[in-house]
Amino acid sequence: MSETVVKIENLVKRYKELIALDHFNLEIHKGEIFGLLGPNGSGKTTTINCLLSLLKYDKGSIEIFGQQMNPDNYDVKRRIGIVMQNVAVFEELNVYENIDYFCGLYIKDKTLRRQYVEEAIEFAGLGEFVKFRPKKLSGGLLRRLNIACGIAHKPELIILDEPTVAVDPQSRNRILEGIVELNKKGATIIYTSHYMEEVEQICTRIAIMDKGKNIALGTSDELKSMIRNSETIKIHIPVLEDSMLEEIKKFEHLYQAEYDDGLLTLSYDGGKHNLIRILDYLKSHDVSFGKVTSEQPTLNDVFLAITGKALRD
Amino acid sequence: MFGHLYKYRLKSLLRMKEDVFWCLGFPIILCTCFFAAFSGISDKTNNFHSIPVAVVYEKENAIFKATINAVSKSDTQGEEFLNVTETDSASAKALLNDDKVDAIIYVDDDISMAVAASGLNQTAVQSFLNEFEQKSALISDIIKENPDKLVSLIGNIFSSRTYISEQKLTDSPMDEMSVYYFSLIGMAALFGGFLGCSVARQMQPNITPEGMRKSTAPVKRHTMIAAEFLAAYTLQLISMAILLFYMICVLRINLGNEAGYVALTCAAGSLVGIASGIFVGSLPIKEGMQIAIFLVYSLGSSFLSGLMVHPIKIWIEKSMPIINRINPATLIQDSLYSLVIYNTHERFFTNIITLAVISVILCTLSYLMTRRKSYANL
Repeated sequence: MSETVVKIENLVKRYKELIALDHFNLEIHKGEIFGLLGPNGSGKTTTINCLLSLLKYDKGSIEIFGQQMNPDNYDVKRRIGIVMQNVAVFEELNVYENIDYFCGLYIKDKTLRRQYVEEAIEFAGLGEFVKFRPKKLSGGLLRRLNIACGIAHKPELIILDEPTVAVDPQSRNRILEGIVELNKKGATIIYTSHYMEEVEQICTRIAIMDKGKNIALGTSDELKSMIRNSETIKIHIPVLEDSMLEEIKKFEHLYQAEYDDGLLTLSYDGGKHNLIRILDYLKSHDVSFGKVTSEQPTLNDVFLAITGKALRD
Repeated sequence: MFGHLYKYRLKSLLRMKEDVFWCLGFPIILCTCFFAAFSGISDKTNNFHSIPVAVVYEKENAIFKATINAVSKSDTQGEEFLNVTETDSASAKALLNDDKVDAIIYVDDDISMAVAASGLNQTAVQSFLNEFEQKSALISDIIKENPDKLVSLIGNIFSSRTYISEQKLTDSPMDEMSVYYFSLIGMAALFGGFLGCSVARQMQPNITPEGMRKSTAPVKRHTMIAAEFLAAYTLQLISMAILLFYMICVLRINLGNEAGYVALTCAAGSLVGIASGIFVGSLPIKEGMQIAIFLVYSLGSSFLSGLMVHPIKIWIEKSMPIINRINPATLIQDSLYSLVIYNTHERFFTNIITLAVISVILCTLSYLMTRRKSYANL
């Protein structure tokens, strides 16, 4: 097994009556893009703040790079880059100065720092905007500046806390591509989001959080395999006789069939060519049909199956 | 690291338009307003100019002529009381209508005066005429009733005696309006706290995202606090230097002859200002609330020092003197005041030491609040 970068054991954080983290456990390995997925208020940001020693916790332990994390562990802090949920830059400094300022908190050598700052500017695609103050930047560019400030010093562990909130699709894709690129260059990434599509797209392993607990952990496929559903087929059929519906219910791997208001919904727990089989059946029985869709299960389905509610509820 | 933090903090503070306005722009504007307002008062009270009058002799009066010549410009150099034009009645009226003279004095059996409008100059001329008439009547009476005592009494008649003697405490020339400028310097020093507020806010992870990001960096907390405090203090000292330059060199306001001590007062005052700002900025409340608290504190302190109404300081001295002993704006104002008024520096140094003690207390409290590294809530 590869080196453990982050190890969280039995972490408990209470805000008076509210338990924000409830005996939370996590282990993140070197080279991973690790996704922390959960609805708002599930404890993702609290976990990050505890990880960074910004927040005191009631119980448990946090180890980063094999060392106990505490506010004075500058050796560990030097190896971490953080991209906050809220844009954390100085309004009075321009793009270059902002990146240089934050990079300078980690890198003392001026020549090396200049090189790192220029690389970060290029990475974030901010070359044309180096003299711009943050106020003059669009939302997407501002997020990219926020990321550049967090990664300029080339950290080994990068924590991105919902970096794509309120970002347009184009900038979002660019940010996601950038994160994968950072990972390819050797950085371990912790990525928190409540956008399941993003997490699915880039993360090698995912922990799903709810009410301060780690309710599921694994790769995207492993998580999806935790639920029965493997495919959902929906077909618009104006008229379907009850006898036919009963025959369809006998199909292999089909565990649920519903016909309501002209829509036939079929849920499968496995099998191949399910769509072809049902369409062949309808044709052979001269049943006319309209729009047909086939959906693979999402992490939302996993979350729904485990908690009984949707991720964005 | 210290240099890096200091350089960027100074740069960003310099670009904070609102803070720079309060620290430098507002005091300069207020100072200019004070100067414009007080110049008018000084012109009327201190810069007296001769009053132009026309004198029409309907009948010869040698005594009056000799008296008026004595107080008129034609006899002596410099500004005298009256600038007399002897003329006939018609010409005198024309001069009055054209505002060339403020009054016409008609000399006949009686002496009378005609004016086109009432004012300070007209009242002064009237007082002069009343006194002349009183004293000439008195002399006439003495000549009639006791001519032998005329020589011994004449000296008493023309001498005015004052029963209050002036005791000079200083050799420095003192303009009574200076106290307002001293209060203004006190206010400007305290307004440095706006910089302190911004600095403190941006250091704390529980208040701003910038503070949060800084707290995750491998930088010792006290290095960061010291660098940022010093940057704010540097900018405030620069602001104070510009304000003093403007007051002394541009407006020519007299702040006394002890430039070094004035600078020391501004340095001590600025220290209290920045420390107060950092203290308020460290409070875990919203930015708007911090600014409101600081405005109330700094303006309240300035008000109590007599910035708006000077007698308030005297009233406090009589009723609650402890406030004057601890109010930073009063201490700054009083330090500058004592430099001009007294030839010794005892009171000055008492004030400066008090300011230093207040700064140390505020800095300690601020440090205790901002040094935290982990929070229960974010």
